Formats: sequence, C-alpha cells, structure tokens
Amino acid sequence: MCGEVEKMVTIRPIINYDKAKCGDPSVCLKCIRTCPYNVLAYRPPEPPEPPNAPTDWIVVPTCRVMCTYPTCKLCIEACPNDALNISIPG
Amino acid sequence: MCRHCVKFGDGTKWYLNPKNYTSEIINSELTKVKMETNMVGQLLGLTGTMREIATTAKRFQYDVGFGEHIDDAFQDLNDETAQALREGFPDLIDLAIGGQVVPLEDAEKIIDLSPGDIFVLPCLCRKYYGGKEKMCCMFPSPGGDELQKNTSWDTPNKMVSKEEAKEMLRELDKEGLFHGVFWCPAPIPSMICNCEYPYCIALRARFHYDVVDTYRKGEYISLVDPNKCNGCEGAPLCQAKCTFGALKYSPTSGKVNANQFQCWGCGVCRTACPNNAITLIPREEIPQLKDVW
Repeated sequence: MCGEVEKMVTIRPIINYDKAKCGDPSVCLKCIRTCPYNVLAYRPPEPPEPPNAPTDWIVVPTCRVMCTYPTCKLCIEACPNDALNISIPG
Repeated sequence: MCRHCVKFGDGTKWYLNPKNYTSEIINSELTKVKMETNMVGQLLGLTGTMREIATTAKRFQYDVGFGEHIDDAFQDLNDETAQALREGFPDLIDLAIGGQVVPLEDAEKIIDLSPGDIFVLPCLCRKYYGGKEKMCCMFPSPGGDELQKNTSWDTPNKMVSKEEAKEMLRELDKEGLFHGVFWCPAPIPSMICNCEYPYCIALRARFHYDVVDTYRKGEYISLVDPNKCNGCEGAPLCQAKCTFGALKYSPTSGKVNANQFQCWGCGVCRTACPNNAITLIPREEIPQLKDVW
C-alpha cells in the first residue's frame, strides 16, 4: 500500500530539454540537484563502448508522475541557460 | 516462501541457495536470453542480453530504461494496458533485474556465500539522479569478477574482502539504508544494494507505478515489543528510518506501532531502536502475510 496517492495521478507535465542551450549538464547539475522529487536525471546520449569513458551528457526526465509543476518551478529557475521548459498536457 | 524460493531455493531462500552462486549458473543459457524479443522489455527500454546487463557496464550503466521509459509504458496507471503490463512482469523481470529486501543478517549470509571477494561500485541510481557518490553497490563473485573485467574506464571501483564488505553493510545499516538483493537474471543473486527513497529506481517503479516485481518485500516482518518500546519520548528513532511508512507513533500510548502490511522487513528500525524493542519474524509464519510481496 505504498504510494496510493501518487498512483492516482495520471497527469504528467511535459518536460522539454534543450541540449543546445544547456551545454554540458555534468559540470552544472543545478536542475538535477534542485529538483526536490528527483524527476531529473542525467546520462550519456548513447552508452559508450568500453573502455571509453562517456564524453557527452544529457538531462532526462524520469517518473514524471512525481513532478508537481506548476506549483514547483525550481528546476526552471535554477537553470542558468533557460534550457528547460515544462507544460501541462491537454 | 516467495515464488523465487519455491522455484530456485531448493528448500531454502533463493538467495541463500549455494547453487545460485556457481559459474555454471552464470554461464547457463539463462543469461543469454535476448531482451529485444520481449515485448514488455521493448516497451520499458530494457535492451541488450542479460549477460551484458549482468556483467558489463556497457549498457546497463547508462541505459537505465526504467527511469525514463516507465512513463511511456504506463500511459495510464489504472487502465487495462497497465494491468496487462504488471501481470506480464514476473516473467520479464526474472530475465532482467529485480530485487528483494533482505535484513542485515541475510545480506551478510549472501556475502559469506560468495565464492570470492566482493566487487564494489558507486551506486548507479544515486549517480543517475545527481546524488552524492556512494560506494555501496556490492557484487558477489563470480558475477563481480566478470564485472570488474568489464569496468575498464574511470569508474571508481574496488575489490573488498568479505569481512570488509560485512563491515560496510553494518555501517550502511546504521545510516538507515536498507539492503536489497538483486537478481540479474533470476536466480543469480548478482548484487547487494543499499537503497533509499527517492534515489532507488526500482523502488520508484514499485511506489509510483505499482510494479511489484521490481522490488519485493523481504522474507520478514518487524514486530514491536510494547513492553520495551518507550516511544523515544515522542521522537521515535525507528520511525525516522522507516522508508516504507510502516511505523506509526501513538501519542496516547507513547509507543510505536508497526503496520505489518506496510512493513517490508528490512530491519533498519531494529538497528535504530535504542531499547532493542524490535525483532524480525519470518513472514511465512503469518498466514495473512505469507503471500504478500
């Protein structure tokens, strides 16, 4: 019986991420570390072939049922490059 | 007994069966199943062979399909598609990766059963969500040995002895992190995680999308002895450490009460209790709970 409240939520904010504006998220991480619900994560666009280390990173929204936009806009405010925008579907 | 214990336990728990720690099991056909052929796997973005997921950082390290694709897979949390996905999950998840909560003593037994040293990597989930690097993903051999061969880039990693691994587990337990053993695939106990909400991807899938088999409850239930519990003068230490919301404090009685349906049997409350008021009892001894996972 965990997460009953969240389970009923089916509206998921659409999180748009602009890689061109963002640059390299792995050196900034401001949006990811600000998000109180850990909706934002980061990873390389493609898994690198070992033994290469990853060279590029993108921000990815995960488990968007947990996003409380528009009440919370912390990630948008935290981004120095205006690379995130969020909208409610429908 | 959970379904894995029945299927892979040979009379004991699946993760305590020595047979599941042999190279024969790891090299068996089971580990070569292609996830691409599985419809549910495609939907969730779980790709690559099981062996890759189990032993290499090649895909699994960064292609954490679960975090990203679960929203697309479960467009509506309550409709028929979602229900069908959840029902198809036990078969899929056995071939992929899923976990079960274990208390400290069982986690130590897993370390003991490992044929060799324990390979340790920083927690993948915490990294994914920008969290602090925490060296707490433990891989018993022989899977851990293979993983070490394949972790060839700059990822911090170390090989620790069994004693060191157990000491690490005890420290993490005191911090309030609960332990889980992950199969990858079943029945290989491939990894011991020290998890917390909200970083743990498997736990999020369980909490928010009700996918039971990503992280299952443990084989135990906590029991509070009301004669020993003094409620820590209104600020119970056990309650603060409970990830699952199973412990409630009653101002009237001044004691803590454990909801056994919400308890996952991780035993972190037992470690936190200064009065030794909490014990773990086997889930199978309680008829109402023996099939609740």
